Amino acid sequence: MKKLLSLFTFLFAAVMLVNAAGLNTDPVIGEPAPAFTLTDQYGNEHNLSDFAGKTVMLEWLNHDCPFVVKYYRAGEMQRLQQKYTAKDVVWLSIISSAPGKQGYLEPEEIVKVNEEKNVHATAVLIDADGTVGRAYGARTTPHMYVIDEAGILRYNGAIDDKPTANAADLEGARVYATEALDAVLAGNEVEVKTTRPYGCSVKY
Amino acid sequence: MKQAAVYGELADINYLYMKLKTKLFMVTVMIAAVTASVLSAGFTAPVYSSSLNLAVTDSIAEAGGFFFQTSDDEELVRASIVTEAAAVTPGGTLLAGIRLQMEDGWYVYWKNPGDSGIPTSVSWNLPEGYTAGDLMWPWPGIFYTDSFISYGYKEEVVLFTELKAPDDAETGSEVALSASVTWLVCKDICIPGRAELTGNVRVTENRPAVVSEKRELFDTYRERLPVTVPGLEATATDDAGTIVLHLKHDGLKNADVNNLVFYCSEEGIVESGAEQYFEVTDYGLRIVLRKSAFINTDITKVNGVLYNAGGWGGNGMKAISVTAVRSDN
Repeated sequence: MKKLLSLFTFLFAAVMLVNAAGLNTDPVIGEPAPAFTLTDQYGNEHNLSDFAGKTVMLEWLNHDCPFVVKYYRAGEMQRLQQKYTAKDVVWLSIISSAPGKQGYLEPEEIVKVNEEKNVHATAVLIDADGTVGRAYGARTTPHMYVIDEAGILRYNGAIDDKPTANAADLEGARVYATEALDAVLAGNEVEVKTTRPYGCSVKY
Repeated sequence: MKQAAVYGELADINYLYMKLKTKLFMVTVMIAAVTASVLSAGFTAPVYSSSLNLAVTDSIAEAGGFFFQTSDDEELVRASIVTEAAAVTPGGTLLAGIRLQMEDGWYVYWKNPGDSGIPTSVSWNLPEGYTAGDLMWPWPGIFYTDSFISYGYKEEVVLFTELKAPDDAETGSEVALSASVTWLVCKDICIPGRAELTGNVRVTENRPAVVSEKRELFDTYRERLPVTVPGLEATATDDAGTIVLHLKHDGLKNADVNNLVFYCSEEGIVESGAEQYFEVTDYGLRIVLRKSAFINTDITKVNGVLYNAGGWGGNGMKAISVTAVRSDN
């Protein structure tokens, strides 16, 4: 009996170790955001550390996802991009769709789409192998992250509190992502630091 | 990816059948063997106590008098209203459902969609005096997209609601039922959809018969509704990102832990794709879950469905409802 129990304890410990090894790599609020280097639609490399001293918004992007379309067709994402880049925020839209999957765009296609949609992001970054998306635990499009001037992650989650693909829900929505951005720009504590992101799954 | 290792490969996930093939599985099998030999407790079959309590008779209902519109124009999801009987009595209840039939490989979401997705929603619009109960969801399947998971339904599902007629419903009259249904249907991509469904049932003096051709459909999905087990007590603790549920019931002690999956009913409390650990204890069952990275508030309770691929007892019941109240604060 005692032997059985000690065997049980051992096995339990083994399971817990396996569990610990299986943890996701969700970045932690209040700690440095995962470093990355990605190439934009013009072939320029951007390293997160290039933007030290500036507040950064990361937006996971797939233009064919209805939840992204909700924001872009209404011009709302572009409006937010314009508003905040004017405040010296660095707005990086990241496409983690793998080639051949929904949302993947070749660099020249991104240039074209940006013109058509009047996109005001600082850059659209190509993460075709999904490395950066996975480092950030990006689950959905959109999925938003706010990084402060010191490179610390301050917000991780949904763009807003209306998890639908219906453009009518833009009105009256509490936009968590820009609320966090406003707080960081004002030097305040972010009230809601994490929310469950909604949208299409990232097409890794 | 890593999460997939929890459950291993799922064959056709619709009404999932679990095949665990990982090392973790081997460890768990050994634990099961050990616990089975250490603990020998008799299984008391929990009593079925679903809220569904409808008349079931063998007679065939009159086919006339009711008509249901389906959303034929939807290619990926066909939605329709189905009722178990063609009529309802004054003050009586009628089991109704929204039947969703998906194109091959496409799925719609459970009430907790998992890592992404949107729950299917049903909003009944009934004549004055008629009421609709809570939506009753058959337990879902698990679908993997990359390292993230979704809870939902492939092929077909019926989401049930118990409709109740007012006491003064006029016998002989026709009652118009309508429901707005919205869904997100996904395969490699996701497309939102909606349907405005209508139908009619008659009000009759006598208790109506079940429509025979509907019986199989209703039985199939009714069997997949989680059952409330009398005497099951559950508590939850929340510590450093780990949620532990303690389920007290002798009937849980014979569970083969390899067969178990816990589906949290609400979004964003439990990390859907994380590994789940089950342990038979002297009080019943201990379940270790990972708390969602996105939760902002303290957990006060955890609602969910405990699914046992091997069934609970011999009566084919596979899923039980769990409401675990926080006990450590």
